[in-house]
Amino acid sequence: MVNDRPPSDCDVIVIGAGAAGGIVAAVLAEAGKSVLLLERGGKNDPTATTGRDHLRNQRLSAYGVNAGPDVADHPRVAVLSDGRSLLVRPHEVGYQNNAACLGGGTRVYGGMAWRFMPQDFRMASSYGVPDGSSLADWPIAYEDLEPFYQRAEWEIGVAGESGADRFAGPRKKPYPLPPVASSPQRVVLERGAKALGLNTFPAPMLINTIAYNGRPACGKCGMCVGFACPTDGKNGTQNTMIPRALATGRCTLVTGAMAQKIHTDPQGRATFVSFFIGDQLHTCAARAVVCSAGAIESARLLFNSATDRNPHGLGNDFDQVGRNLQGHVYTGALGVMADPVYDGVGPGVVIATTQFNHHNPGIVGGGLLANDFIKLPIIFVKWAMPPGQRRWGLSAKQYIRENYRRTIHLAGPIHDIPSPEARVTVDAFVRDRWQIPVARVSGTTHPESIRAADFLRRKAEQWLFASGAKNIWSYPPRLTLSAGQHQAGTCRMGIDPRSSVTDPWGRVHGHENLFVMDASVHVTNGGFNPVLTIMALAFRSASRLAESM
Amino acid sequence: MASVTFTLSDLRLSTLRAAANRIIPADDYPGAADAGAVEFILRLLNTDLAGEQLTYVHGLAGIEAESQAAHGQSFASLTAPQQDALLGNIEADRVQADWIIAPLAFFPMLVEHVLESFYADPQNGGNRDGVSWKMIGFRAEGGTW
Repeated sequence: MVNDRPPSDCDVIVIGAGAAGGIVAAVLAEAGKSVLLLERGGKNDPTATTGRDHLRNQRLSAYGVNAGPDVADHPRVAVLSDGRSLLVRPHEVGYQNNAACLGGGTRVYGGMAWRFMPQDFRMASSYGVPDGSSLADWPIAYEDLEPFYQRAEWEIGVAGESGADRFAGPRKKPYPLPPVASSPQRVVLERGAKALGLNTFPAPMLINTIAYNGRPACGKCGMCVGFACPTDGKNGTQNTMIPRALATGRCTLVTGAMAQKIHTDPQGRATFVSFFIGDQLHTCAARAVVCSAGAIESARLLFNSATDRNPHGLGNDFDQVGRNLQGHVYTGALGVMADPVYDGVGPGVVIATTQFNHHNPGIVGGGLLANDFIKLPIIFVKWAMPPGQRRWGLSAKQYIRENYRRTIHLAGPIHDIPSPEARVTVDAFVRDRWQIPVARVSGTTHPESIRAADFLRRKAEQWLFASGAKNIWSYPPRLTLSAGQHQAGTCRMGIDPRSSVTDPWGRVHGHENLFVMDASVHVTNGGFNPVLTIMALAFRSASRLAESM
Repeated sequence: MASVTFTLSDLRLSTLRAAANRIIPADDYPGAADAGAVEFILRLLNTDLAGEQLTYVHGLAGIEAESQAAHGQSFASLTAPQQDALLGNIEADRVQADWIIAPLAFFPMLVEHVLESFYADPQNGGNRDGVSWKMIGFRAEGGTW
């Protein structure tokens, strides 16, 4: 039930209805637990449209956002690489925004559905630990997660070509949906890949290529990234797991609900959560509490729940909460084909390779390469004009006219090498409208991430060249923090409480009924879009919690 | 959308209109101002970019002063090649008039806003009838969302 009158007690409170929280709520409710699912975004209208504003959306947030959080109510402090601290709003530089709405980022994502590779779970033992980094192995292996990747693929809905990715870990069940159709870009890029000996295949996507689970096929509009799907053919938690949770009758969803604090007893057990609906403070008692608010807000909530027993925040006796904030340095290259390669058919990502995720001489890790989603025209103008191309005058107009349909962009995320100095804390001075201290985000990725990105962009250039592109260009990666949509790492899982925040099932060390289930627990974030891993971990940790209650 | 309460004088509006039509000039498709750039910018200056109102007032005054210094007439009355040369000088920070705001604190922003007006969705006030999308072949979806 969707409700603005929350219960006064329940079995489990789940804070955040995004990629993980929606799954956690459904797994628990279907196991017979009563659940309160709190979502700060969405006000009281979980079906609200995200519009079609090309300047105010999750992908291009020039003047605002379309999927939350509310621009006025959720400031942060960003510490830039030059040391300046700025008070920033969700659409401004340094905020590291992810959507805050029912479904979270899954409502407005592109929906690439990657499994991490087996090697991604053992980066430290594969490569050693670079100086100054906090690179570590996961406490779990790919094999532990495989059954839950499978659940995510089948229960949320993934389209892909099973077995086509030569470098992927073993899978026990094929994808439930056929892969996205070919396109002019794929034809051209396959030619180049063949010349280079690259293994390519259609990128796996959380998209209904055919009708599935009671919803229609994707309408191929091409505006996947940044917007909700107009045909409801893109699969997020808002149209899969959250409806399942609500259908049990045991899950109460409250949108527009801002968590204030997790309250704990002298033994460190979570007892109740206080939260605001509008400006009204509510409380709800629970037998367990799950933070699924994303890597920045989950860490913030643990800090803001400090007590005499845990004066630095819950789970933070060893100064680990908020550290190792990571996302993805993106790299890639662009080039121009002699003939148009644009067909306007969404989502636009049709070909990928994972050949450069590992085994790159002298490089720690690597990343996938895929052709980019269809770009809105204004995004092409802002991001895909070659260096030195004049931006105004008749020649600029003619350049854009000639090349919008001819340009190919190969892009990919680098497996970020984490730094303990990239971190979330809470600001000592700035508070939000509810007087809750705001997140303060600082640091950069580790220089090894930049080396890997520089390596991968050359591979992208070579692929474009072999595919017949001309006027190829790319940009040197910069040492910044990129922890918005792919934010992760701030409550990493591990065995040793001195170097981790949660156990391998998301249980916060020292707090037996307090959990983190979102990308915060990622030890590293893969050279892949992380959402399928977030989903798989949520299935795994929530199943364990349901069994233990 | 808030009703328009901030506006520019007729002279500033004529400068803005002329400059926008050189930043994206007409060919067989309309120029930026012909497609709504002025309306787009005024809307932004009344909402998300209210903080830039004075940048526009002083920046447009700078373009006009530059035109008077170089040609003794208003920017809007110059020929297209004269306008292009003058904007090129401003872009290169080669100015002769007194500018209250630094030319480079204004001109790149103006260019970006004009580009946004022309290539973003028509609901923002520019790109009238989706002309730029037709020009480049962007397959704008139908639908009612």
